[in-house]
Amino acid sequence: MSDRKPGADRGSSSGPTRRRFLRGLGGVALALPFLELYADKPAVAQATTKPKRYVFAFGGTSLGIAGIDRVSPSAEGALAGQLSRGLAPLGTAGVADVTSIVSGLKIPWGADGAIPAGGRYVAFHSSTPCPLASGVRTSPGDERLKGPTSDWVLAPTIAGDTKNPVLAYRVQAAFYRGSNGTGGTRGMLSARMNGATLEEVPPVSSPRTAFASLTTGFIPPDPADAARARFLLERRASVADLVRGDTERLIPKLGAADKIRLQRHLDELRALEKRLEAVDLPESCVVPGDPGDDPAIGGPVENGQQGSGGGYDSMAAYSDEEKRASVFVDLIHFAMACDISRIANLMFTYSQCFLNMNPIYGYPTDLHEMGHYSMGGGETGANAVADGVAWHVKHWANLMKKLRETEDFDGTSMLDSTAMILCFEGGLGYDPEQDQQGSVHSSENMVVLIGGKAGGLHKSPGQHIRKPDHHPVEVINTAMKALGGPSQLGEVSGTIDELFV
Amino acid sequence: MQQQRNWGSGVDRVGCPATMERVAPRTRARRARLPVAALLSASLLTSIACGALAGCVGEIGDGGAVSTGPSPEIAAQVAVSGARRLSAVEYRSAVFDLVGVDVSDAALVLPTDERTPFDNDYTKQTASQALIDGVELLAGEIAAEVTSDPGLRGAVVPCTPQSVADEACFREFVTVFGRRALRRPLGDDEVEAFTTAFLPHAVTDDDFWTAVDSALRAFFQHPSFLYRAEIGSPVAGQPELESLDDFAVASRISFLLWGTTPPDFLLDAAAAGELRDEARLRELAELMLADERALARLSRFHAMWLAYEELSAGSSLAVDMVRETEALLSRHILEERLPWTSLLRASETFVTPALATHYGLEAPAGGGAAWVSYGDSGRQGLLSHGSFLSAVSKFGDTSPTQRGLLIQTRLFCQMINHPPPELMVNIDMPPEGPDPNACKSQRYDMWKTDGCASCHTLMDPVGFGLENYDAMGAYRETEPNRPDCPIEGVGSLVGFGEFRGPAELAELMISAGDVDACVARTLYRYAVGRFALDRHDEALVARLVEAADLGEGLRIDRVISEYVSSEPFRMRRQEVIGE
Repeated sequence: MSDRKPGADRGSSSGPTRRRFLRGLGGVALALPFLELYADKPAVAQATTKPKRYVFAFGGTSLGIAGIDRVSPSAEGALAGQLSRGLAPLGTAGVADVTSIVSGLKIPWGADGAIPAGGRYVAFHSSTPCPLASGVRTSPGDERLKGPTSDWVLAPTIAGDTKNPVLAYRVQAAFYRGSNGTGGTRGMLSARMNGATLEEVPPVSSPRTAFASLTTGFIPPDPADAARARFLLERRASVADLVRGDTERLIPKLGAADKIRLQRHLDELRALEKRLEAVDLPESCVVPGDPGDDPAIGGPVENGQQGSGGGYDSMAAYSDEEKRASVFVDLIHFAMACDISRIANLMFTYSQCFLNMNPIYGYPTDLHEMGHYSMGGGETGANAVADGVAWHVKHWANLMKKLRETEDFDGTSMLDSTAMILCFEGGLGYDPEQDQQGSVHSSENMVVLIGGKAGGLHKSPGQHIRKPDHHPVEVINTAMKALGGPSQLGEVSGTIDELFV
Repeated sequence: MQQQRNWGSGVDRVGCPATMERVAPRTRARRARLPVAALLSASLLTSIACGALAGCVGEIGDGGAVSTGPSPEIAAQVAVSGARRLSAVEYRSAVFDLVGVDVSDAALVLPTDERTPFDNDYTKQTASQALIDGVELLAGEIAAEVTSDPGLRGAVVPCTPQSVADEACFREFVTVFGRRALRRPLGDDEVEAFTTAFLPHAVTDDDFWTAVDSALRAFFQHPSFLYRAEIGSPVAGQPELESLDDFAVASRISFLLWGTTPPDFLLDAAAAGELRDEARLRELAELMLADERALARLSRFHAMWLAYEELSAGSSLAVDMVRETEALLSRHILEERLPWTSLLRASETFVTPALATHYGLEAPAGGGAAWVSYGDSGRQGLLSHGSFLSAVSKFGDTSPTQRGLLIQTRLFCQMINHPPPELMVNIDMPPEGPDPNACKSQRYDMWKTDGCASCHTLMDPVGFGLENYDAMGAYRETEPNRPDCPIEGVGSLVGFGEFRGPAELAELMISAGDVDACVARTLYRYAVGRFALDRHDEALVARLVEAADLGEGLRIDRVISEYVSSEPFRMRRQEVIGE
């Protein structure tokens, strides 16, 4: 028997136990921007050909109130000179020149039995995420995705042999209404085909889990640390191997339905085994600091409890999404910089988002209620809604900035081979459910932001392009086309070729 | 994570690893747990001897003999079961009971369990990278916690290793702990696989506990730990039915009554074949109902069912409200064994001085929580608890519609759909009617129009009868900030008459007679882990209602006892894909 202290150096997924790790570093490393971590270091990517990268992001809000839109720029043309309140973070991050916004977009609608291709059911929440993310028409009363989403559609083309073909993350930690659970299928915005079966992919909403998973497999350069890390990784791999084998032996004994359930589990175990393969840490690829424990989940707040004395005066309906968004942005950047993954599906907020805006902007209400006059109407209400949009734009722009400032393996910016999408649940216009104009419950006048320079995007500085009544998925198709993928998603074909000018 | 170490030694009087009975965190701490011995009959104590395990080791479900078929009546009551992944709460409880580590952050790390309204609906569960990565992360941390703590690891490993690569001790650990973790005996091949895979880690690391660490990681990621995948034996003449093995029955009992992995005495009963005996099953159910974990399970069931699960995360007053309801459940359901509807008729309630003041009741003497009489306050039973009255609200105040919906759907098991789109109703906007400044009852008149009335008639009048109680359950006579709007407080239950307040509503509900069946159906949904019920389920529920109501009203303890001891409980029906 060893006389070493029992358990010494026997760690969790990332070496020492989480608690010891936090005690040792005090969580400070999180504050280090990735740019500094990579300072004066050469390219990171290990791929033999220059990787292409894709980010799909989503925010569960519309754009204005009572016909007033403080997100869409007023005029077409160069974006840099006319950043609206909702788009201001693009300027702050210095990425307006590599971002375009396409406005005037529309998801068509129809009643039961008359929903057009790529369309939505007349009831607004949450009928747009399905056609928006998959290009396939939704079904009445069914919020599930009906087709594979662009992240998985692109995976065969650009994911290569990365450990994580797609990173599916969700920032908003809980639904914040009712039982405060997942909000049903609203919590998922990524779907893939597994053979002939469409599978929705539940996102990782725990930054701690995401960090542990992404840093799995890296072997640090220090010889002593490397030996220890390699041994731990071997042990974890042998554990996964045994568990996988036992799962394989269990499945044939199950009934047909349970076979399907456990087969999915087995597929995920096999993916884990791949992630557990050792990778020598490139000198330039620095593992970020542990984000520490996940922020506590905020409780639900019921509709209308905004205002003085209401639930939104407290930290209810908030799980430090500000930190969560920053961590997920940092992790996506890390994953792409170290070529652990080339595709991310980043769901910032649920559709019909009940996230408390008080800790973020001092508005004692949730994002959804702001669209319903909780902060007032007119300019005041429209500005509040635009601020809600801007919160999403800020984190999305920060990711773009990080990618832009990171050298690819050939010395160019990583953003040169990246296409990024940010779309929102609604626009501002006609609401067929209420037969009302200027409504927040509308899929008219939607916008989609597209960033990056992959495949010839943004040869010219970023633009505001109006494409009235075009489907938002056409912008997504444009990003896919720029990355060498298909120009059709689900039932929607066509691209916005002005973005290549 | 936190460790809880207040249990006894790791070895009991007959030299076997002791059942890790200990004071559980939070909700388990209020009542002293019965000592293990009190839970065990004399026959069970003898069966705990290590040797009793030897004869029951084998692969589950591999070539079991074809069992005799049940009668057609019984066969018609056998329910579908699917592989159920442990909910985050069940996972936390199971880990704690197995190794003494409280994975308090399980609900943060593991994917959120969807509520339907319960958190254990297997039809809503999907394996994902989020699950696999979360489980792997937690397994590593649990293993590290255990193996770095001599107290914890001594309780988990039943022997003292004599060398770094003490194979005999490692095999014993895998055999003994494996049965507890995977809720069934391990086959020889499985013990061999664990030993072959992980004992070399001890040699490489020059540390026996490294191998234990690896094995613990495997156990806590193992499909037989994470899932309750029931595998049975064919039933003669009934190709769609299977007879469950005894260990699957033990898991059913334990997760139903305690929400956690089966304790050793239940696994021993399974090994001894006792779980095929109806009288023995009733006895075990009774013993387990006497444990504080049954109260925790019952409380959680009610909290999810009646939609106040999130209340305990709120203020100290909210905590008092949850305790109030838990005390009522404990007294009426578990201690006095009264019918469930007695909860609606309780004339006393368990309150802190702060909660009593909040309710307008006389505060209990002594400064602590105690039972006090409602007197002539108009309050009575569960419907006047702050937990129930604060469960649903909308637009910054009580919602008569939501309260009515809660009662109709959760206590009468009615189905009321969302308004159809052709009505063009925006449920996100408060009702206004022709005059937005009118009093609340007048503004709700807009729901009395054609198209809306058919559903709102079932809901709104019920809620208006409770309007004198605000969104936190305090009494009021006028609408908030509207002294010009007195609250009449009169409601009606369609078909049964008018009422005023919780007491009169409770009496109307009981006289309506449908509550008992709904309670049984809801409890059954929780037991089988799915919302949708088919004709087989309904047949069994009808039988349980009949058996559990001996003329005095339906008793939950009887429902459980009848269910656990029934023949259908020990069987399963193959799930048909797409159903």
